[in-house]
Amino acid sequence: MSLLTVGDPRRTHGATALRPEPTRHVEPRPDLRIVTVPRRRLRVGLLSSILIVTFFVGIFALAAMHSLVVQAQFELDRIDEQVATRRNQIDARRVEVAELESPAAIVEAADDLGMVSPTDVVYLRPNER
Amino acid sequence: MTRARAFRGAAATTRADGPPRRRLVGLLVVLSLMFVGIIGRLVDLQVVSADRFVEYGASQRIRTEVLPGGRGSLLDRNGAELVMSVPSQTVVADPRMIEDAQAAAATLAPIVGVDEVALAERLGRDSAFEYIARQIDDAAAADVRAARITGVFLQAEPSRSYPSGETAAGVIGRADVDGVGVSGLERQFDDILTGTPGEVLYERSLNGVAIPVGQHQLEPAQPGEDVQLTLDRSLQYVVEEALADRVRETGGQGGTAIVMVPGTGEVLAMAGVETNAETGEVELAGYNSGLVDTFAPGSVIKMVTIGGSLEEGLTEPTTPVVVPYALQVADHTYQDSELHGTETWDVTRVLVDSSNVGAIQIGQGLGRERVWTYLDSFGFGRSTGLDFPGEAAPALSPWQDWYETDLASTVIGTTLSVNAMQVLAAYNVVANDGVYVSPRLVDARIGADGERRAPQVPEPHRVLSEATSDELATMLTGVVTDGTGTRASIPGYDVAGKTGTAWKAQANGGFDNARGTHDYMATFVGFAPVEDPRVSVIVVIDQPRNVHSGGSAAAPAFARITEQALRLLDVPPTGSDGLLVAEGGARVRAATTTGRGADTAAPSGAADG
Repeated sequence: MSLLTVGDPRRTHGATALRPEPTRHVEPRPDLRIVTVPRRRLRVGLLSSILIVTFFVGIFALAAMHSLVVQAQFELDRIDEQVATRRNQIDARRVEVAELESPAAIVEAADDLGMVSPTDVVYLRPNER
Repeated sequence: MTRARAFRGAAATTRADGPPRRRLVGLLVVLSLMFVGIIGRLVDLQVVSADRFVEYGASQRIRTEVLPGGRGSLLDRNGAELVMSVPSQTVVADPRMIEDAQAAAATLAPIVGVDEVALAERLGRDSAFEYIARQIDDAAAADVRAARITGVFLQAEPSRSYPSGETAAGVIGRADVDGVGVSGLERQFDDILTGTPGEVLYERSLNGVAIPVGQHQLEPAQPGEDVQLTLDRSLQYVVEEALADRVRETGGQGGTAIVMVPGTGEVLAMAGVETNAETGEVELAGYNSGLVDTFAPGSVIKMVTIGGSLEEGLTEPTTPVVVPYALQVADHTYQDSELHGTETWDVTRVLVDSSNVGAIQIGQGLGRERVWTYLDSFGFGRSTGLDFPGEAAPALSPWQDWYETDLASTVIGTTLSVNAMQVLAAYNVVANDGVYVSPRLVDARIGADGERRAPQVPEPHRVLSEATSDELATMLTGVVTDGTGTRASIPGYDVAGKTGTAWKAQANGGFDNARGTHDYMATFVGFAPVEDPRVSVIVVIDQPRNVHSGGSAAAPAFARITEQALRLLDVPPTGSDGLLVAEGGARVRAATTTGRGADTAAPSGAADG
């Protein structure tokens, strides 16, 4: 809003005589005007790059996660199989123990050891005091 | 000149290809039609037939497997497994997936042990499911897995295992390959033993592997309950051995033995053996003869009539009875087994010497109705309550239907048809101070959570007064000490019991065998120790050849079994008669009052009608 003024070139100070200045043709300058500062422009390229990188990083992360899940699933399957195997082994041992504890097996083992059934049973009578 | 040719050439091209606009329109139409077709197909896939395709896709991806609900175990009274289920593998095939049935059969047949030609035929069928081999062992399953034959799979299928072998097989029964009880306790408790199958649903890839993070649903299987029996596995084995030995010694066709705890009705052992007609070997019977087979009990039934007479106050143990050798009833003559003149015996001697004539006279004094009533109260007119599959139904006809001779024949046990368990339960009345306690085979049901549930048992009922029961016990002790059952005595223990010998009914309903003679059923039933009965035992020998009476054929087996049972139950000797005792480092035999000598299997002169 401020205006600049131009002084009268003919006005001088003191007695010093001055040679008149040659007349110059001055081009009129355009009026000053108020301009608005343009907003800073987004750097589209950078943003795009970030987005693309983010996208691919995300995809990679998903793939990595999926890989971990698959790996965990395989681990789970392996453990399940181990559990099933151990359970089968426990059942097999149960059968084995039951077979070994059966009277027929015990009699057979006793026979193998040369044991025989007693012909008479002797009872011990405690002393009467 | 050149320009004119070029113009003509261009004009000719334009005419041949048509105007570009028309070509473009045509192309647009074609593309539009294609697009419409694609849209139509899309609509068909996504809207019209969406459900069908979703279902089709799911059928290819999603696999459902049935998880078998393990069948419960049968345990003895100490928790030892008599029968149990163990995991095993069954080989199945989807023949539609098999490209070369011959090659697959050639690989599989030697592994699973089936005929290659038959297997090739099955693998070549136009079906989606075929059993190849069921419940194979682990080694064979591993070989099948290693063969990696497309279209051949292994699936879990539990199988039944009998770790005690054939011990108690007749009582336990069997389950078929599908895990369904078909006989014995396996059949009786099939509903309880059978578990509830579960189901697992999952998505699988083309190669059959489960897809991680795919659809997965699991409904766990519920295992069946265990059933703990009252049987003692060790005693069962001993009883089976003793019974088989006795049947061999007597040349019998078979035999039955039952051991019970009189006070609780618990069945400790229940054995049946039979002689193989082809090999002559004595083998365990494949069924529970103690409940299934019926026989004429003979003189063991006299206890009921005499007990009833004592209870009614008609007689006392010392009441004199005039006993002739023979007695005419209607058109039939009954006689004692040993010739004697007309003598006056007391009621005790009638029982101890097992007089048919004396017992008939006592029965006539009691009357048909009261004889029937006591027989019913002692359990002969009703089921044992065990509900065992194939158990013989009670066969006590109403007393109103009895002919004149029926009373006499019933009193001496020749026309009655009973099973061994009924007889033993009746003798338990005497052991229990006059109270009838129903026999029971099941101690508890054990759920998957470990909770024990005791079965409902019938209420005991009084049959005789305690005084009458004591009198009967004393009289039955006399049978073992002085009567027909001396070979049932056990050193150190007072034993009460009764012998029984009856003609065996033939297949034609008569009693004469092919040789025109008679076959016999020899029985001994009793309990020990008399003062505090801890065990009761019955032994029935079917058709013994070397000897025929209950006192000579069955009593020795009774003594052996009862002695073993008392030892297993930690019942100390109550007396010293016949015992070997160690006193001051020396072994001496205490005074013996009973004659348990060597079992020579000689024909018995015992008069146990």
